[in-house]
Amino acid sequence: MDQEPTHKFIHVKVVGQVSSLGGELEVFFRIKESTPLWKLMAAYCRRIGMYEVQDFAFIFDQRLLRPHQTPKQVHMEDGDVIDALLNQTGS
Amino acid sequence: MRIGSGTAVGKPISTFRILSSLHIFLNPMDNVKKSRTSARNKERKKTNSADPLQENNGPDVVCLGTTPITPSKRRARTNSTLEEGGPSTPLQSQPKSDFIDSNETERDPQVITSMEFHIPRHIELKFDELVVACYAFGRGLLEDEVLVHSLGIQGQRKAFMSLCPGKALADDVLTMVCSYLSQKQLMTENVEICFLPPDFSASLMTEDLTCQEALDKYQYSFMQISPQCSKVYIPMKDENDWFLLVVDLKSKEAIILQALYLDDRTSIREEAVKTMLTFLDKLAPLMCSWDGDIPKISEFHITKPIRNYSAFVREDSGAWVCQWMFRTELFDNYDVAYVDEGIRMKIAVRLLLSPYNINRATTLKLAHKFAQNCHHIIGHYYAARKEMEAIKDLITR
Repeated sequence: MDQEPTHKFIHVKVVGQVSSLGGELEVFFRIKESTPLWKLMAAYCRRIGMYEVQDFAFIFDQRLLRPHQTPKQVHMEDGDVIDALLNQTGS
Repeated sequence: MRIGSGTAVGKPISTFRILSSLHIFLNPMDNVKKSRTSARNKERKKTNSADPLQENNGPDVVCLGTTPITPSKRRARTNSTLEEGGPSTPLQSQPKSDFIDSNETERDPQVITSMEFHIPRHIELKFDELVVACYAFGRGLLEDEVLVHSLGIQGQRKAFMSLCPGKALADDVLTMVCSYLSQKQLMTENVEICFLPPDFSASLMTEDLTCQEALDKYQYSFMQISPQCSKVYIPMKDENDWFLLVVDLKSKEAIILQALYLDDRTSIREEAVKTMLTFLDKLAPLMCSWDGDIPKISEFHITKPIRNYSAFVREDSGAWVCQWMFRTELFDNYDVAYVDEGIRMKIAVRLLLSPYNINRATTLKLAHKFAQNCHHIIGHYYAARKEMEAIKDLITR
């Protein structure tokens, strides 16, 4: 687990789907390494509009990000890319 | 956001695990894309490890900007920068077109990609309604822009912003609702319901409004009463909490509708209502269009709230008053079940696309133009609706 809080900032990019239009949307963030990722997720949802955090699956290095994790815990570094996939239900 | 709750955290994980595995099997291209992203991240780690960012104070998370990418642009970019495999440049030194500062985003309407008030997916909106909603609540647009202009009443964007959930409703919105409903009544043969603006009650309580002043100010727009008039609706404010006074001329009672029942304010509100009824008593004989039997309004029985409505926060009281007034068009009761984000959005859309709005065509034209900059929001809405319909189909099947 995380040792002690760090105040180092990293820049990350969240790439999300733009559903029916078939395009993608990039949102850039600056985040503290010790900040729980739910803050970034919430900021992303606010930015996108329409959806809430639980509607998205945030993927980093093919792993699902949990809201309580911090960038340091998942070894996220400056310039890394997070994929935001819309949870799909139904057939 | 319900991110802190157990259900919010747990739900997507379980569903996602199944879906993501299915997703990978069903869409091999996505799998390739993901591994590319992963490889990209790993490569960056190697190159950036020797160059850590300096420590800095400030908020934990800062959104630095948004770049909508069309498929073609995405491909071009992937070829040129992301797949070269060379050392990644620090984000701060990237060209401005690729990296938009948040302050700049708010100033330039061309790159606005989010809204102050997210469109709830459970409400059904037509395309015109959708683009107008995007335009009214687009983040960073001019607050003073007049979106609604009707009978001398101007509705600026900042008034509409007060319809966002959690915000107290501005007087202007209620005035616009009263104006809209009054004009709708004027289109009918006989004005059966009279809607007086909130300004009317406010000026009576604070400035000792005289009958002549009231007639000069409100008669043309709001007091075209016919002998068939049966009800008068007056929104009133008490300590930032809205309640609605309905003067029923047929049943001879004054009904107080309040969304948030506050026991300690009951007597104060009743006093305010009595003052209003006394004033209406003086005003009624002076109304030119009133030629029926004039009842003694001040002697009307004041009816306490029929039941406690379920507004949990004070900020919702204004939206409840709007909903009670809109409901009169269809029903002869006050049984509003709930007020949620969808109803707030519907109120905004209805006012913006009102046929009595002189600015309707202009607003609609600008909204369609603006829609090109927020196509992802519209896309998300339609995708969400489609998804909801698919779920409904599954349930009903």
